[in-house]
Amino acid sequence: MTQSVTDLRSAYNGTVATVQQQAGTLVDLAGKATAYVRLLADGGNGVARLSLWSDQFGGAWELIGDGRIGGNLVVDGTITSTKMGASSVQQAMFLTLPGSMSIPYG
Amino acid sequence: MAIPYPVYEDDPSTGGGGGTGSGGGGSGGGYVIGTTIFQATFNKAEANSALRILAYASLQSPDDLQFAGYITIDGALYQTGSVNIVLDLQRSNGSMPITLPAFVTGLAAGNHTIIFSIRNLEPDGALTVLAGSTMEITELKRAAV
Repeated sequence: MTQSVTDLRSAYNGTVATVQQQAGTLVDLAGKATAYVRLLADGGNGVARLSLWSDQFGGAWELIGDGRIGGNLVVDGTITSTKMGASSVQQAMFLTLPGSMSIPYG
Repeated sequence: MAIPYPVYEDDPSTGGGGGTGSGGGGSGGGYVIGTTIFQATFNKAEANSALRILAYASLQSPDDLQFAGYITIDGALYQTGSVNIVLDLQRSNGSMPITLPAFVTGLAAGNHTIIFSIRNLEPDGALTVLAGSTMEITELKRAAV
């Protein structure tokens, strides 16, 4: 097992900012291997975190915090979301006739 | 893509029947497209998206069902459908719903005027469009097309 942890911390008058870089590898007696990296930034008003890990179940990553991708994004799997941003896929307008209309001949 | 305005054999206003196609009262270069049921200005956000238009009307006639429906965008015709059902009584009270769909690509971004209109071709009385008739305009962006 190996592990490295780096902590940076600034504080003034009760306000604290921290950065943590953490990485580790582990192989247990049963031969199962695990590797992980975690980067965390905390300015006191919301945490931003990137986590990577790989074990016998596969590889995975997690991003916490608002994000932006400046280039293209290719997704081979399915995107699952509780909601998409307004007008990002479609915008619609609906009109309904409030009262009957009479159309004369011609 | 836009489609040509149809020509009806017995209707001079459409260029049929040897008439001059002078029309009057409608839009589209003199072609009569009847009474506007819905008119909307739709601000299309993207040039490479598609517009899906669904126009629904529930119609009642004092006698036969003879009419035509039109969807135009900026004066160009994108969908039409005509009904010519002659019933056997003198006051048959014909009624039916119609839905006209249009799926349009190639329109520039920006404002477009979309009209759903119906022309009554039954000389025996006025055609009634019932309350609750609807029109839906949806811009399908590339992520959804």
